[in-house]
Amino acid sequence: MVVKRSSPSLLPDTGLGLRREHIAELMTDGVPECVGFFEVSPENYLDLGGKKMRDFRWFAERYPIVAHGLSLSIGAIDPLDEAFILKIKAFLDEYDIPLYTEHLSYCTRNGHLYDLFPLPFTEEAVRHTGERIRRTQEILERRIALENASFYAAAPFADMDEASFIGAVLEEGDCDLHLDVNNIYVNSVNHHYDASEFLQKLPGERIVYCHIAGHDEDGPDLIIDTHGQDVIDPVWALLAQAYQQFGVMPTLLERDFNIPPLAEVVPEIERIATLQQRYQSQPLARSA
Amino acid sequence: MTQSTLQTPSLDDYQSAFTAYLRNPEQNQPKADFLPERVDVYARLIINKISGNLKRCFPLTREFLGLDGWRALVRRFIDQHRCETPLYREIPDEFMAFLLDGGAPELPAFVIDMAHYEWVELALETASPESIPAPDAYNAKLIEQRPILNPTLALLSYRYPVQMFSRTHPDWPDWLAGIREPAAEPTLLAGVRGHDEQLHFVALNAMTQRLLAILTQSELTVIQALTQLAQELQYDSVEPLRGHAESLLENFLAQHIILGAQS
Repeated sequence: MVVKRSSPSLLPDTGLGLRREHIAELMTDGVPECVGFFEVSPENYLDLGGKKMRDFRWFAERYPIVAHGLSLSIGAIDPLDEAFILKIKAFLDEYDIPLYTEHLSYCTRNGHLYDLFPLPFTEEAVRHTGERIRRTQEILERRIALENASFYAAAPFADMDEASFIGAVLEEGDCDLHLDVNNIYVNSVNHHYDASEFLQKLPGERIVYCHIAGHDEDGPDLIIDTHGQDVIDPVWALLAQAYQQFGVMPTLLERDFNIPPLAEVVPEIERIATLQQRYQSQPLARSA
Repeated sequence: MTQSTLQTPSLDDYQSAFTAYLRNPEQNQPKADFLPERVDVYARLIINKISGNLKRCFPLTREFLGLDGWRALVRRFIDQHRCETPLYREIPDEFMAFLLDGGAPELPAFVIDMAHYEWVELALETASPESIPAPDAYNAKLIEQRPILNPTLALLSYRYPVQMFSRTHPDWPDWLAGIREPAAEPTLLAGVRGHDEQLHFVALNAMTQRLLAILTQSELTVIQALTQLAQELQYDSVEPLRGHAESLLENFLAQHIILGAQS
């Protein structure tokens, strides 16, 4: 049985986050075969001029681009920044970007704070966020996908557990899921739950895209989701489980800090591709 | 997952308390009882992230303030300023606005000039468009035409000689050591990103800067702008200024301030 993807996705299977540190090498030595698309934060390129914008255009003219935003603040009480959303829309249109994803979190309160804060798992947050998702999709005239966020501080009150919250928000807003298997692992350690069980509870029919990344350990039971290290084995296992359970989806290797030379990143992308080949040829374990 | 009998706050109250704590972790202690223990992790992440972002734009300001002074200033910025831009690249714009609004009244005035001069570099590097055309060669007809100004042109005025704010300048240790009086004359500059991608800062006299300001704000030809300038200076005729026009325009072209003539 084929899992229906609700967002039209013309993306190849494996991609890499476009980082300043790799740009010169990619443009001169060529893009490794395993990199089928690039991901950027639209915030980095809106209203930008100069060489960095020309470099971005070089990639956008040759490869599909995924936009993974930072500042939408979908769960905030502050009003939606509709002028900003219109700029995002123009950016998606100009570069023919098939997918825009954001974080299921918020980053504003009387102004931007430039980090992603967790929403409490309450009915009110479900309704509030769902309404804003619908409005955002209406302005963008396309579906968005929201990423299951990593978080370090759970509210000491809740109407439901995290997996139910994610499912309820996506249902209420009728949007897609951007699955981040590293975030599941990080949260499972920080908040003491079973990552594999958590993954099984997510709404697989809404998954359109996947992130895998490494992270930093800040203490024995605090992992910070820096995307600054190699991917660890338990996270690879979660990716395999996701493919088995939900089918193969376009997957990006995220690396934001301690960025190593391209040659060290490529084997991780190839490992994603190998996993995808294994599960592409298998029937799904079950539909979600 | 912690489930408890705690009264559930509204989403608004929860986000308000959470972010109020982040903006000022010291003042807002003790935390509201519905805030999680680990909210302090976010306070630490935010100061590090915003400080790191700003440090890349303001390395000399950071050096002048020292680590403690710098972090105290960034904390006050996070606490008191309301950042409107969703673009991380523009956090330095917000910080500059905060400083110009008197966010740090205790700082010596030259530090504000220094910060602004550092910030202008970032502004010019990232300004639209993607490419600056190569300047045309000088042509004697240019004086009768409307010039094409470099779209990144910024006309700058400082109370202090900002070009001295450099680690390699012999006076830098004196600046680091303390307060200096403003110079007798302001430092006037034109800043542009050139066709060569380099930033050019050109020292101007008051008359030249005024001429560029007139050209920036109007649709005048060079000779019309010179005529307006002559009137402002209460000269009897434009001729004394016309005599300088050729060398002025040649310089503007060489400095990528003017790129050619509008057709």
